[in-house]
Amino acid sequence: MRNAILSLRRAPFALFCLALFLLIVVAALLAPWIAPQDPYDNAVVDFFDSNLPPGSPAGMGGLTYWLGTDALGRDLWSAILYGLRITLTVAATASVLALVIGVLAGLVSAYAGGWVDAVIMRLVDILLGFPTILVALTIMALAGAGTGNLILALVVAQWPYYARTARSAALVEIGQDYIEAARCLELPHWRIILHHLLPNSISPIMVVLTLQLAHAVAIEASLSFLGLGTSIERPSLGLLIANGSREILSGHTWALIYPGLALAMLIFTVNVFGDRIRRALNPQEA
Amino acid sequence: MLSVENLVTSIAAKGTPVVRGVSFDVQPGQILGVVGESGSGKSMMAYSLIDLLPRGIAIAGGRVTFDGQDLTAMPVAQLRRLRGDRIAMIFQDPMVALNPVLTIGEQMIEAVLAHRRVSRQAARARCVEVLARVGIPSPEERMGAYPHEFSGGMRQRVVIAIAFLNDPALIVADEATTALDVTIQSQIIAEIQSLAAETGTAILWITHDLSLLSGFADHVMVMYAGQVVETAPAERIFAAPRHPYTAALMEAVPVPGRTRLANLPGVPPALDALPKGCAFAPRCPRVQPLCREQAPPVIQGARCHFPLEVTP
Amino acid sequence: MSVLELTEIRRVFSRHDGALDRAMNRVGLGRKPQHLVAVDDVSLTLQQGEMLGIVGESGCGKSTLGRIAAQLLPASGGTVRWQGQPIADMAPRDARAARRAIQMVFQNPYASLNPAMSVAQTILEAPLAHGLIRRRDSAAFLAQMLDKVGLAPDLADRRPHALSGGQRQRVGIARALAVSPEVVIFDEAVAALDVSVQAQILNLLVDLKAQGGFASMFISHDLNVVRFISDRIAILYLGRLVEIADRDTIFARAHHPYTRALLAEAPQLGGAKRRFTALKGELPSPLNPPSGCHFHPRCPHATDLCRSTRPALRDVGAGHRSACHYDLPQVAPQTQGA
Repeated sequence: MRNAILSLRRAPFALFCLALFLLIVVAALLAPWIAPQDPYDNAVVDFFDSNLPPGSPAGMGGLTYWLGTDALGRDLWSAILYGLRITLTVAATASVLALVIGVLAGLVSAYAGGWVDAVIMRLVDILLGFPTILVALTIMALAGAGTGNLILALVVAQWPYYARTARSAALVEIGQDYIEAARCLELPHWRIILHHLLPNSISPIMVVLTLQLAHAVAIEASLSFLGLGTSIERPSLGLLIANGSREILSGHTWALIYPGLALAMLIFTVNVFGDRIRRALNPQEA
Repeated sequence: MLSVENLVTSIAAKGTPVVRGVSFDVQPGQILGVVGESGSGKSMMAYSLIDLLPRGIAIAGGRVTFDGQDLTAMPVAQLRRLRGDRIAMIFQDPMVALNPVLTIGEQMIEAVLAHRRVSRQAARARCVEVLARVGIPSPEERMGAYPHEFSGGMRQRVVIAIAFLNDPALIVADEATTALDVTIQSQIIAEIQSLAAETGTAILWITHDLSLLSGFADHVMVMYAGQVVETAPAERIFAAPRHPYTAALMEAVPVPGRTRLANLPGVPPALDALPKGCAFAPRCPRVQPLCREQAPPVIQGARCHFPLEVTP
Repeated sequence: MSVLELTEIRRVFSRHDGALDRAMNRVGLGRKPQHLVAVDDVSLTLQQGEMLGIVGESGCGKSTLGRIAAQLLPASGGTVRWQGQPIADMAPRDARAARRAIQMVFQNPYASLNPAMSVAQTILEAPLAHGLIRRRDSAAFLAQMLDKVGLAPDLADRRPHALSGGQRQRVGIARALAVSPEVVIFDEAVAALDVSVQAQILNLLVDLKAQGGFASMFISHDLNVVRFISDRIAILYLGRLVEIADRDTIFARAHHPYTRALLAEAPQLGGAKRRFTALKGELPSPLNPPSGCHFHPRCPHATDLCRSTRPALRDVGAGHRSACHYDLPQVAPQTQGA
């Protein structure tokens, strides 16, 4: 893993994407401080400023809408920053939860073998057999909209990827003598799994994390776009795009283009960076 | 027949030598054993002779003369013709030399036809004869088998049969029996011995196993840190080693009656950080101040300032 | 007194024997399961403080036997007794204690250490996890273990990749000894090492053996190494025990023709130049072993009895047992070069 990160030095474009990604993350985290307007505060948002093109001054003065406003009169730039924050929070929380659950399931599956392995892996196969978006949609349909359910849907849809990767990485390690030695020392099973298997299986899992994070952002946006995600008062990036798409026939293209651009940039940078790490870890594939 | 003069091979990028000035001669029918631990440069020395060095490592000096021709100056195409014909090779892993998707027969016939103007039938007959010779039962049938249908020992015997095919003048074998069981190893060595005796093929036998050479080689060369530290007829070197490293290696081998083995402290030096003076000095039990200062001369076959006395 | 006793241990590996294969078999569609008898009714006892050498060629089942003895692999049949009591019948607590008292040192010093753990973590993990030492005593304990296996104290924080092969093998030995085992199983523990490093480790084992405290099984393909280190020697061939005796008895009066062949073929340092006289034939496949005595196709003395009937392991002298039907005359000790 350390080598993989070092090898980024020799990949200026991947490094640039990493920097851009980090910039997006920081901007999203700092949204309340750097956004010109709090798009959730009805006292600040002026309904009469709805659908203004980029560069328009605010009707009440004191503010320029550099990216225009949406149908509710919110400053689009601020809404994007806040939306990014929601999208990233949801995607990151879901990815971390999916990683923890998936990796544990994968390691236990590989270590225990037998029927435990069979049950866990058949479940994984079934979930992987359906398109991720369909799994997530089903969960949302059953549980209803809302941020918590959105995270739940992402976790259910994504843990199988981590489980499968963790299992195959762990199976390689289980063949090594140091695992035999640990068993011979009668170390508790949880200890062998957490102290011996986990640290040595982590590299490919980190690759999956970067790729699945991008995927989670995309799914979150898709679900929100379909109206199954976050609430309308606090729109995520996906919902902004959905709202923007309704304005497109009225000629208010900016409401769709800018949030879309932000989403594309986020997914693209994570993917380039993740792909680079994957290739660094599997030199024969490069 | 094969003559190597002051061969130097280095890692091209860094200039780190892996073979540092090796010279020796092999006569027809002679079995020359080369022994050394990992990192001694014994394999790199052999690969230098037959132009099979890994990428990034190249000959940096010296001459390799085979049948009067300088191999280091020879065009690659000509050298390739020589390989597999006059010079054959055997490696530790037989699958390196065998193509898994061709039958043994196809590979062997091809090896004959590549170097000889004979009919296919004649080539086939030659293959069957050689397979029988290395102890493959029912060779006629086995010609149609694929490499994976043979056991490890059988596979190595096929490789040796391929090496024998064109009556080479020289066989270079690198740890050829290391992965084999002791009873199989004996069989293969018996074949090699009779080949050398009957056809006058010279053998360069590279191994880490001193005991194996003691019943087998005519002449022994001991390598350490890229250099030959001692070279002598087998009987002499096993009866009375002169170089302290040779002596220590021999005392490190468990033999009946021994209750304690030589404790050579430490590990061989890294080739990019060789000590000044004698490369073995840091581990030598007989080290003197001079050894740490000056590279030792070769005295009576031993590269040592203070070689062990030979007791008559 | 015997610490570890293996009785009629048998281990069969099967291919095409999963749940699906069995179901398919039931409806008559399955492939025939292939069975490999890796260990075939082997009985051995390990006495307190002794080192028992286990010798054999590839496929003889020596590593499988070692793993069964170390409780890393279940036997398909037979009993493993710890201090007289079958481990399988013990209460879980006692069985764990027994298993912990049997430790193993592995062949490959690169694969046998966790690459993510330092030397100190590797050695201290088990004693701390089992409460054998207290955390505040761990530094002193670590120093003592490092000293015991001849490792410099400043190596404690190194990861395996920064150690030489010999140093790694010492760490592997220290890890096993750290839980105060009563039996240590060395599985080809010096096979992957250079000659001079192998000598260092063998010397260390001689010293550790002299300090006492554990009995051991030393599994190896190298007769010279086993001769150097062992008190008694067992010879395996294709999963069966063919001969067992004191070290000196094996080398002076080998009874079984296979043992004799092995002795004749093992390279000897200092022997004069000789013609290698090969044992005829290949090592048969363990998937399809010969009938009767497994050795008969290669044995110069084989008879019809050998082809049809498995010879029992029988007493041929004090503590010397051999699985040959005949008492073949001893040839004069082989003088090399003759």
